[in-house]
Amino acid sequence: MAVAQRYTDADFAMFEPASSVYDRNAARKVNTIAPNKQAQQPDIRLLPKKKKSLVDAKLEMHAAAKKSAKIIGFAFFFLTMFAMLLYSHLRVDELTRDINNTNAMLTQAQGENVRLNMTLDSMISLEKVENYAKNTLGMTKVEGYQIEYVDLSQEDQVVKSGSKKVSSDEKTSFLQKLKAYLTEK
Amino acid sequence: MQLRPNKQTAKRAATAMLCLSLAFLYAMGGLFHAAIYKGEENRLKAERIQLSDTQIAAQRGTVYDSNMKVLAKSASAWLVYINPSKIKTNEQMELTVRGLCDILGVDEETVRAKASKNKSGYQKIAGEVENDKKLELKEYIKEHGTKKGDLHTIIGIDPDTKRYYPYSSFASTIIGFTDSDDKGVGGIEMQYNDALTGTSGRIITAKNAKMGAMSSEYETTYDAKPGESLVLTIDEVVQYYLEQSLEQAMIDTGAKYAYGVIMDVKTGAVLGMTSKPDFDLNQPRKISSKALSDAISAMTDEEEKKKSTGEALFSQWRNRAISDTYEPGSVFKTVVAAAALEEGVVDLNTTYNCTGSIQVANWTQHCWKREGHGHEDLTQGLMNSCNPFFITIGQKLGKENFYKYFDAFGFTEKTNIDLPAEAKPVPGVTYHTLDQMGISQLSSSSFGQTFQVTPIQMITAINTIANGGKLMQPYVVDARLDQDGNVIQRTEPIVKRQVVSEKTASTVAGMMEKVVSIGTGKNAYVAGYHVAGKTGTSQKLNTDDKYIASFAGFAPANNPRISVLIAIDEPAGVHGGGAIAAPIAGLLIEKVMNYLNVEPQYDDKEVTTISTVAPPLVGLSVGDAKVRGAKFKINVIGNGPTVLSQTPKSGQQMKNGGVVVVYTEENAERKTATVPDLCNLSMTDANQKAISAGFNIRISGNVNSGEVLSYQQSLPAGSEAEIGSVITVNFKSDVNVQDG
Repeated sequence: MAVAQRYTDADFAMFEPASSVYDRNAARKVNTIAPNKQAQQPDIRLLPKKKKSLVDAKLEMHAAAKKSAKIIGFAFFFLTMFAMLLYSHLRVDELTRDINNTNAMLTQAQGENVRLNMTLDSMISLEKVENYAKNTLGMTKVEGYQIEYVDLSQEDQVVKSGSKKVSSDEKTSFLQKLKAYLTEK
Repeated sequence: MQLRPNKQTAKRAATAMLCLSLAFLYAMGGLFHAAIYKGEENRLKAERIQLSDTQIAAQRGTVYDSNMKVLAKSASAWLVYINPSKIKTNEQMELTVRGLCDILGVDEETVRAKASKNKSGYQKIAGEVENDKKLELKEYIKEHGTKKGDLHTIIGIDPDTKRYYPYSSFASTIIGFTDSDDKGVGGIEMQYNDALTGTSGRIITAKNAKMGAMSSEYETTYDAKPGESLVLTIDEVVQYYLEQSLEQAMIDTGAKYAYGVIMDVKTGAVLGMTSKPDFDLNQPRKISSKALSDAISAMTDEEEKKKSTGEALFSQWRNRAISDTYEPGSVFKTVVAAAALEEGVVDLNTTYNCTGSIQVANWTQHCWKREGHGHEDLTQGLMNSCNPFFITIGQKLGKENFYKYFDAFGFTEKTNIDLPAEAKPVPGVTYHTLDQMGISQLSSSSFGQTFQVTPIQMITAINTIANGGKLMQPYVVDARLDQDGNVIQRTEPIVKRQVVSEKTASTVAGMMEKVVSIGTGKNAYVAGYHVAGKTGTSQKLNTDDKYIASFAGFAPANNPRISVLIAIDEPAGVHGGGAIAAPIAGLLIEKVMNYLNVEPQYDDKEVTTISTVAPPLVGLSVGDAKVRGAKFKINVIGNGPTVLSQTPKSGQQMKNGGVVVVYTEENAERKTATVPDLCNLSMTDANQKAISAGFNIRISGNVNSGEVLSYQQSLPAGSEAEIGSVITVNFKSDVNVQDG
């Protein structure tokens, strides 16, 4: 209450601007809000509509059609590109899956190959071969004493032809000549 | 006058600013918390959501023998699991259990127990399932998947790998095996696990909103690096001969265990190594001994059963050739002889008079021959395996020198062979240290008692003598290959040190050859191959009647190619190394030498023995054939005038007076007869019996000692064979083959 009283009692006049300022502003406002209608009215004149010729109309239509075609073309191009991109992604995914599957099949086949080879190896182990040879085929092992050693320590020797002379200009028979002629390259 | 906001407006503005600041700070804090404080965690979380990370298992490397025969190889297989939480009805349960048991052959009780865990989402049923089984299972799932979700959601199949060992138990203790995680558990598989495993690869793919994989352009693949392959020094044929010999030895001697090693003298490469009984590499967790398996199955106490099963498995997986220790016994005398010769303590002319015992400190050590060997020189001392003589040599050598050579021959350290679980010598426990060595320890150690070594240490020491005194490091992996088969690392033989001079080694080798030709090792004799060796018999620690009989040697003595150790652990009955280990070694050496194409070099005496060969009779008239084969019994089959073929063939070794069958008609039917039993006979009796049955014999083994008996024949008794065939009969002696 006391505060309200204090505000009521206060003199706000000292905070007010001078009355001349109010007058100036008021005049400015009046000028802005209500301009002189007569002075600022523009002249409006309707131009006569120009008559299009058939050629112009056609040209105009053609241009419009061209523009539309261009837009449609671009749209089609982008759509195609987009579709192709999608398709290529799909193909890549598909091929990746194929590669993975093929790799898996390859690994599986390699594993199977190892398994079969190991089974085969186990079937032809030295022990099994020996048992089969001994017990089924009645074979015996070659023993050391059955091996004959051939002495190859002597060097190569030249055997002379003895008294027989080999002459290069020895006469050859007709048959030999014919044979030589036929085999000649 | 200036316009200013009133206090309330200012206050409101301040409050709003504070709120905004707090909100900003909160947002910044949250951002800091998410991006910095928990940045790594959130990054991983995001990656988990956005990326799919698939591991590509690396192919485990292959293991080859020295001839590039595959001993172990991996291939893709399948893992079958179930999702018990999806089993809702009894019908589903029965279908699942029945299908898995029938197709995969798994235990029904186990499957039922796993399938009953209805809160679990994953229970492994079987790994390493082969493709045919997988296809069968898939077909079964398809057949029984009438309602959507049935079986498809319960049984799952994932990729897995399987390790194949084509030759089952072949070289099992060397190769080892892998566990369900494809990790090596024993042998080479364990020792070279890192190299064999390779590096796993990864496929990182971006996931779409539906958690499906996006196209390959969003995919990054890090290829798996396959494991390296290993080429072993093990030769399939040599290993087979060794295993075959020891299996037969276990049958013949009733031994509990048998183990052996064959080594390349020059390089230290192990050509063959086995420990019997062994196990099937494809079923490593199955007890190989049926008797033991039955005994364990019969046990009622579950705890005891479990314990016994574990012990039996560990026992069969154990590579006793490197993991067990034993007292080498008389085989060690070769090392003492080499040390004494090197130090000049003795020479070949040193003599000793063995009275049958020797007094050491306050105890009497008897020779294995109680009546004594009498006067003998060093070579004879080794041939007789005389304990008092070697005690004397050891005492002369002194403990410092003894220990020096004990250490130099590698008995105080591991051999560092590239196999796991090699037993480490423990000073003061497995051998006497220099400080602990008194006269008693020195004396007993001099003839190979009161200390222990591993078989691989002993063969390495014997190999040193064969290799001119150079101690080699044994090894089993010859090369490592990349995935394309290129050699990326080859093992170079390592000479650890020169232990004794070449001259000393050669002298000891000569002495060892005598041991085999006329000493306790005569049952290892092979004509033409100059086998050198030493027998050993040692009592097992803390037992009264359990022995280890052994033979260690090499051949040919003049140019050694292979060194061999054979140990028969706990034989029943006869337990002398010369009686039971030497014959096995002899036969084995003969086979391996033939395989390695080592040409026999016969001495004069041997040439005389083998000089009788079948005469060439083909092409002669029957009359002339009878004249030329006057020393033989000629059996003519057919009525033709000329000999067209003969059995045995010309040049084949046979004894004088043997049968030669000559055929005089083309397409004449070959006459056969039943092969007689020629075992446990003297040479004369065996020859007579063979000739009476229409066959010939060829003598193998040591025939120098006179008192020999046949123990093996090349053609089995009772089988049918062509008359005139030559049967190789092996002879051995039980006289003077004992050792200490």
